[in-house]
Amino acid sequence: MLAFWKISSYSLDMPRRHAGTVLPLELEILERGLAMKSADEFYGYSIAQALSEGGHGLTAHGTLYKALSRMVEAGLLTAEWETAIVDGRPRRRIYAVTGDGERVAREARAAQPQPAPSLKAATA
Amino acid sequence: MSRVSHLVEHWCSFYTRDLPDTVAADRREELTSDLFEHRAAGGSTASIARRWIAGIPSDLSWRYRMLEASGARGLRLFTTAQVLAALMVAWGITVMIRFATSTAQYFELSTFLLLAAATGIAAIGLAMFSRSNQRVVGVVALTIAALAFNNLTLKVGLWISWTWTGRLQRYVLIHLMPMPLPVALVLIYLPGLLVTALFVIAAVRSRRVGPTTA
Repeated sequence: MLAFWKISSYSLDMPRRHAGTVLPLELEILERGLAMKSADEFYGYSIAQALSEGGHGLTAHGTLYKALSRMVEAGLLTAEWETAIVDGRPRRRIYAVTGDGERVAREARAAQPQPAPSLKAATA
Repeated sequence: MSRVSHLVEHWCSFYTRDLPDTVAADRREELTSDLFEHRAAGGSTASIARRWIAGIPSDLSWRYRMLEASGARGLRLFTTAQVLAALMVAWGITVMIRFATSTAQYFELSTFLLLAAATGIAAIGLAMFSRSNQRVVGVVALTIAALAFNNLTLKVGLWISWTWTGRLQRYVLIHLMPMPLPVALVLIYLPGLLVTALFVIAAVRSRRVGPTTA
């Protein structure tokens, strides 16, 4: 019988995430960053907007900036503040996907299970 | 700027208050930019509030991680002590509300005033405990409050639950009272003493956690 303390999610000593593994939100951020046409358009609010395109609401402030901070620390993204003030708005922190970030995104996508073919396609 | 944006910025100032300057400044400035862009894109107050509230657990875990990274010692114990102190305050307020909304059959003004005073002392103690330069005084205040709550529980418990207070009183009368007085006193005040010990240990181990200015 499986005791509840043997299930990692309930363990008091739950190990931290292995280095190199990415969460679904982080993978999505990497993919949105790689798909972004203009390098200057990848900043906090624009990332929240891009992530909401799948039909979800805008990502919560805490969730988004915690993920971005962790990804910068892990070397998946770089972050630079705008140097010039444009149109009187607060300056943006522009993110860019690093080479490591690109590789991790590619590997994570390849490791994901492929969706099963639909019945319609299989019987066609 | 809307009221909710102000609230978000105040919240940000609160959870970044004792983090390294650059880390705190980056987070504040990034959030200011986000709020501006969200407003400029026609975001509603409700949408900003939803993003704020849904992100609070992540804000707190990020803060904890940043404090850990900055080498703050005894952080876990310090947080536990803060939560315990907050629970004491919440318990005092709950009992007072329950009393105010229930029949006044067991009303004793002196007990009620003592409870109100203990709750106030616990709230002040919590605020002082959270500041590194006032922590010792905070521990003293929380100790007074913890022992007062311990003492008052048997009396004010009837305002909350007859069943549990009855069981507690029977336990004290049947098992503790026949014991030698010093032993009985220690056992009766054991919960308060244990809580006090936790506050003291947390204060000693986390001397440098928290802001130093009022």
